[in-house]
Amino acid sequence: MPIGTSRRTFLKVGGLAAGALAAPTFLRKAWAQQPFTVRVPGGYGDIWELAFFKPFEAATGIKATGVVSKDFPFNEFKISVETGAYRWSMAAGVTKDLYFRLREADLMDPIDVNSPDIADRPAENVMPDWLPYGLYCFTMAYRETSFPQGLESYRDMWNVAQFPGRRSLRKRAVDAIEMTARGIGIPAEDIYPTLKTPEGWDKVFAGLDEIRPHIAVWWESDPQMDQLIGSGDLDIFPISSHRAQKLKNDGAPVGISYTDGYFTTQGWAIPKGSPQGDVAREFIKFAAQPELEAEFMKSTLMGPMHPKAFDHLDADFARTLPTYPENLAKMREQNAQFWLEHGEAANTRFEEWILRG
Amino acid sequence: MTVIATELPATRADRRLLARYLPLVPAVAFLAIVFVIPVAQLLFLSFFDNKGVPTVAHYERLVANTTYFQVVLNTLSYSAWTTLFCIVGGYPIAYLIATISARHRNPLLIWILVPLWTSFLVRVLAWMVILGAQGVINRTLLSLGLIERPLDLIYNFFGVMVGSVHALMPIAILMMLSVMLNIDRSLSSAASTLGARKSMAFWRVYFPLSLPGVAASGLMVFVTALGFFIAPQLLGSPSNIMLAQLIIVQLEEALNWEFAAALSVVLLAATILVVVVFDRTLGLSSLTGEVRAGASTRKGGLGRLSGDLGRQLVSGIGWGSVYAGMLLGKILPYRRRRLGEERRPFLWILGLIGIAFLALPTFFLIPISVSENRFLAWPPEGFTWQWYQIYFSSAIWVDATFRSIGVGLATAALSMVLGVPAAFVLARQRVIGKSVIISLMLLPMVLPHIIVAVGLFYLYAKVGLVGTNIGLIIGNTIFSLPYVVITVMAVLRNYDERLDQAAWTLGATRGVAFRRITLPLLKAGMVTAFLFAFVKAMDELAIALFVADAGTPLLPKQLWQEMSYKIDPSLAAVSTLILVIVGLSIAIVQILNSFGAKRS
Repeated sequence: MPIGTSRRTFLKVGGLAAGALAAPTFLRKAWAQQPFTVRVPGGYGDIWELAFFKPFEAATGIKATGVVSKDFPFNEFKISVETGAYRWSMAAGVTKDLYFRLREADLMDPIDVNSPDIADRPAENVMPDWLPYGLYCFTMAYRETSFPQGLESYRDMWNVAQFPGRRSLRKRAVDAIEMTARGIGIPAEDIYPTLKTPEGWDKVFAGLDEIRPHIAVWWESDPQMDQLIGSGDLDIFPISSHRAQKLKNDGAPVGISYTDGYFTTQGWAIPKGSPQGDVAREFIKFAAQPELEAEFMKSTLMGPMHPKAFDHLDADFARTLPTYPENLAKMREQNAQFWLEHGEAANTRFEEWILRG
Repeated sequence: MTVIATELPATRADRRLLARYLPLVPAVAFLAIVFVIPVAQLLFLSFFDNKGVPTVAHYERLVANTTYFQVVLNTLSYSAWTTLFCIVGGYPIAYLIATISARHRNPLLIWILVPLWTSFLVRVLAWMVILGAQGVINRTLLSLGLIERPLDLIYNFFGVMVGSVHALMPIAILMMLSVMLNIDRSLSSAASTLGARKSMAFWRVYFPLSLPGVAASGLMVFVTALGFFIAPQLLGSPSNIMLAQLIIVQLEEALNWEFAAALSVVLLAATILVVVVFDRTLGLSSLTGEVRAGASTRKGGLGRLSGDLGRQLVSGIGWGSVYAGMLLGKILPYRRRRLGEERRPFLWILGLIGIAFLALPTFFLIPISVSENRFLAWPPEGFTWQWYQIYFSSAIWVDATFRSIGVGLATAALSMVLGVPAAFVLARQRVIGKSVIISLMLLPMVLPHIIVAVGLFYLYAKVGLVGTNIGLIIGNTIFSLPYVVITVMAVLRNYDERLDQAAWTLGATRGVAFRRITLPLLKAGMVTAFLFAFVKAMDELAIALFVADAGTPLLPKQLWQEMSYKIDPSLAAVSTLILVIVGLSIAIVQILNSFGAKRS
């Protein structure tokens, strides 16, 4: 905080002096000192620039720069707000579970929801301090050349007799548990109620015991999976749909089934006290336009959140996206609130379980 | 001695004492300010709950749950195995390089360095290509009909060991080499003249003299392996969990800073324990050269016992190899050798196998970098330069390369300025709390870098260093400094101080003696230390992502970014290019050096 204040004071004093001499030059200089930066998740290339930053600059004259950082940047929010040294003005790639954590810790500033492009969205997808732009899901994915007849759901992954092959599962408690619950046949709507009881947990971990001998790789990072799938090392590999779709588009024989998948969303948020909060609010309103979201999906292969975004996409392409109504109907949303409450217990138990193996 | 000094009323003794400690001050002060205080503040959290109320609950959780104990054991045994393989595999290579002509030395050295110039993530990917179920080895064996289904070479203990040993063996080799190059070769000749067989001369003369290098590299590899997590994570099975991984999960995913801090305290305690055990058994003196001061008499019974055991073992091996040699001599026809001719087929085979292992992933990356296949897959298909265009078509890559080299050089320079004087004092003077200071120097290597990065961020935010080049260089120096200190100390252990004394006697001032005698003799060690510091800085991701200027392209950041976007042969191309750039610059320096040497 003191740094921000003193810099502002310095700018004011300097501004008064310089302004008398050459106001336009000074303004440009002030801009250069406080650039508008957007934290973006790694793994999407220059699509932020193309879909959002360039159009924003063309419309407002304000240049936005992307700053790539690791997934789940809760700690970056926390230390920026605590120290007043902001790494970036606002963040993209704030997943719903991260949003819940940030809200709990009071680390965000409100956004401006007064825009027709935001009003058009379903109310449950608009928060006072978070606006999701894209949806992604964890689905069944498999090597098409190993299963020409295709796989349907996680049930098939647990059916080792009928579908032999090298399997992989994510080494992360929440995903491993969600997938196992589906794999052992708990109906999607019963999963969270089941997990509220100790017997439910035991049941899911029994399911993990059952699949453990058949897991060739417990994967941890997306690049690792790209390599494993690209080289043909794996046969059954539930991963995020947009990642699988990208590999498929690059020529890997990947089959995708949305059945019984679970999805979450990611969006924009502003760290509390951001020095460029006003610009950030303008930017979020601007980025909410359906045609920009549509452009973004062309490369990221996530599902757009604005219902009208599909009007700007090729019909065949739209069918491959997770928010295409037919696909979305097969899936359910991951319960971020449930995992906010049970995540730590899940992590601890999962760690113990995996070490025993 | 210090007791006497404090009792003397004269200020001269105080001044002398001060002068002795003075060279240590910059390095210790540096680490205290940018490492100890920021990290200690974070670790202090382990005594509080998330509302700031003091508690020991996090430690109770550690003790109550045997899982964590299991992970600590895992981490220790994994590090021990890694160290063993690095030393056993690396020693023959270091010995080979130390004892061949200087003309052949440099080409071999470049191959040793190869793994260091490839980003750690790319290396892991390369091993996945080689060891995977559809990888090079399995495909070859399958097509030869030697196996029926793919062997499990990866995602188990074997995979972890391959990845870790590959990453750490160059460090072990270079550290042993820097000591070996200082061993007077005429000592072995003298032993031969006195009738020792070659193997005996080696085991009884050369090997003991090279032990400080073995000890130093053992300690270094062990401590580095304690904080490793990339290899266990990507090449191991789930049960190969390491402490560092748990810390990162707690810090970044579970967001439980307090428990992450408690786990870090355990990791640090384990490290300090290792250094103390090392000191008690092998003695830090084997690093620092206190033996002549009669350190062995000060050592406990255990220390003396292990020292005796070690001597017995070495002489046993010596005799064993002498008899084996005699037997061989009886079986094989006797050949008269020309004077000076030295054929060592066994050593060459061992050495070349080791070098092939180190350079292997790179060998496979080169053909893949021109493959038309869009994935890193074996065998490569067709031929294309398109993956190289990605590097040259964007200014960012070239910019990142040169900026990283610049940051690396600055980091290495700062590390040398701080580390070399400290190493001189630690190696040559009796200093109170030496093992504490050496532990301090080693600690940055074990902690997950993200912890240091977070600690630094709070510090930098206060002084306005966030996003500055200076902040970046300081951050990198924290991790490079240990390599400089340990390497220079190991070299100094074997350095004959009487050479300096001779120079002083002959009228050289201390400065001149240092410049004309000490430095040239220590050149190999200094170059190694500088290289380590440089390479570390080139590959440091946590600092690059966390405290560097957000808009500044840096190589590790750029590679990481590219890799999380897409795994394709462009990564192999970038790695190949970095290798070529570095290889060329080393070659140019060598050529210039040899010209300079000829002229003088």
